[in-house]
Amino acid sequence: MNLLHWIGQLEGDAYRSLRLFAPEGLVCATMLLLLLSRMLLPSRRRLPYWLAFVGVFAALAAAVMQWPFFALLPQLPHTAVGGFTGLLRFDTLGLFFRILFFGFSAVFILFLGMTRLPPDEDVGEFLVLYLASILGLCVMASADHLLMVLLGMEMAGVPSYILAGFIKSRRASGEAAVKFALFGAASAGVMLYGMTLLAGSLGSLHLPTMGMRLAAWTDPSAFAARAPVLVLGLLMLLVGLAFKLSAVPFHFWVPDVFEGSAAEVGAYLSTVSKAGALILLIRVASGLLGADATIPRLPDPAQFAAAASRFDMPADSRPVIREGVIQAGAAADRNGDPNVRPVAFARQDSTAEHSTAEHSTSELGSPAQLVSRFLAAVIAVLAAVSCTFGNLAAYGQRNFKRLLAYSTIAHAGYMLMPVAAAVAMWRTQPELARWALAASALYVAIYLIMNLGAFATTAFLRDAFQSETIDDFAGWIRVSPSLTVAVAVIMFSLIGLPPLAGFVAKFAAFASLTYSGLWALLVIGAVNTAISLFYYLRVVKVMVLDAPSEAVAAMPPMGKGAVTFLAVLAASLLVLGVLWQPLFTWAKAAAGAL
Amino acid sequence: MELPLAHASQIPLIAYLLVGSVLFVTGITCMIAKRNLIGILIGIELILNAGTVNLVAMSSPFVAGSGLPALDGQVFALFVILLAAAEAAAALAIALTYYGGYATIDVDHGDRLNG
Repeated sequence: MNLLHWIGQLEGDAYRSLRLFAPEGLVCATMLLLLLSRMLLPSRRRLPYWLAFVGVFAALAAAVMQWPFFALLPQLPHTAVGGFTGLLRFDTLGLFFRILFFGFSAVFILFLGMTRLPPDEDVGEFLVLYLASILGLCVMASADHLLMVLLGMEMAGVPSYILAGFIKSRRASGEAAVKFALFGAASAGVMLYGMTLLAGSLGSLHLPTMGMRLAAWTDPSAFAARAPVLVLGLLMLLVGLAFKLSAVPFHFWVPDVFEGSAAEVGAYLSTVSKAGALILLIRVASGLLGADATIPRLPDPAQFAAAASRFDMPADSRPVIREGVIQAGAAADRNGDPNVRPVAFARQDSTAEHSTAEHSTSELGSPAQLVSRFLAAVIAVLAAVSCTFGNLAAYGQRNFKRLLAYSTIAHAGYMLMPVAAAVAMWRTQPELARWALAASALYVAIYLIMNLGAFATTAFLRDAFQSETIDDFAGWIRVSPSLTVAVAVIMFSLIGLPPLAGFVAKFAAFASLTYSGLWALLVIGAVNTAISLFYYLRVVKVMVLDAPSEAVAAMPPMGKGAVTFLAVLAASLLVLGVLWQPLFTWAKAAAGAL
Repeated sequence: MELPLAHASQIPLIAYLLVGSVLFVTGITCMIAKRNLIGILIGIELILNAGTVNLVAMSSPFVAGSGLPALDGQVFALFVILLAAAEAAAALAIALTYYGGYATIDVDHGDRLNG
């Protein structure tokens, strides 16, 4: 193998990958500009908000403009484009989540501009940390290699530890940050160790390659010998993901961190941060279970050529995941053992291997089926426990942020339900599995709006009252009726009452459970929805029915900005509750290519 | 390609993995037993190092029975070292804020938020 040939290939690959990575590049540039603006124009207090908003909006536009290209990919034999020699995987589902992250960020920065936190002189730093974290989430959304899984987790995690402790004057803030950082670092360490076990037993760090090795284990006794290590590795990997998702039993940090840190930070941690963990879980599962186990579709050369020319892609070179190129020489050099030689990355090869694997199934099923069942069971248990615990613990809470913290734990459970269904159906009914993934993507999209609204309410009320205790909001409707109505809509949507968007999200998630036959999970989800009714409604009841205290009665009405912001969020929940079809169609298109 | 030292080492992979697992268990114990923030951080570093030892041994061409492609683990290990440094920097900065509020870095004193 010729070195120059390699370098040439790497160069082309890097150039192509950077084109697809352009939105993240724009976020990086924005971070640099923010730091420079702090240095050069320190007196311009509002400048960082504008810089960050424009940067994130440009990233959003760049990501949306990639959609037509990705929408064409499913017509090819390959449904994804490998980026950076196979470290990242660019496909429609990843793009869906990246668009969500950038769109959320644009709204989030507007919201930050309206609250009294962060203090004006620190806005630049706050935004830089926030954007760094978003960058990590984007890496998570396209990770296709264990190195990227870990890097993405840490790139998103480390800045958020600092964000949690951002208000240096508050003692509780420091405590929250300490708890968050220690739990986070420990779970990342456990996850790394689990990754090494998985990688060692499957002989690769590249997720699809690992999946193919797994599918190629046709000898049941060899599988039985490695199964304990595999199971241990998977469980340890799930520790890190469950921590980020704040699923029970790795949820201890959630209430403390949300109570101790600012509501703005909670608004970030409970929404996109979780969405990142969810897409990463989907990535890991799809890699291990064989992302390519789909029916090949016929390409349309003319359309692809048109799309490819826009992205400087040679139309005749089909986008393939390129790790094989890098590893082939190294492994073949090391030992001539044909078993170690990396598998080629074409769809045809993988299907051939899958079919041989299915033929030689023992009475237990093929290794990939066993792993699929095991993963589905673990995720289902996590979902059921998170849901139940979150909803029960939310009852006695007096602090609004703590209540929302338990509510986000419960929602992590609902979010995991369609993923469990998808993993269970992955090998048997790929089309329905993709439907379930679309349901979870829909859930995430709607959940981002709902929870941003809930935490924005906390932030606005904190600025008005200097209090976050629910009982202090008594009679708020007499001061600011429009704001109270908006809050009520957001709370109803969090419960999942029709005709609001929360109902659609929950309905899709539960429907995916009926497809996969996870009836127990469905019952648990339904019972939990009924339980959650009471504590969400209590907030509304206190605000609407209770008599206002003197302090509340003497309060001036809320600022127009806050009311408009919440009203727009509530209105979008109403609209999505009725016109959910376009969003779901988009989510289905995104999940269809996996 | 003939590596000059390819057969020099007779230490099997399992020996390296044992060192890694001892490091891992030590790290977990350290994290649970220590009440001092710095002590807990040391425990976390030990856990990360356990992963690093595993990775490097698994992809070393000089270790008998290694399964990963050469250099994959080594590059991964470099990234882990980098991450550990970044994490330690952030955690130490946070420890300083915590000390500012409580005048101690004993984590048991941080009980204002009861969870």
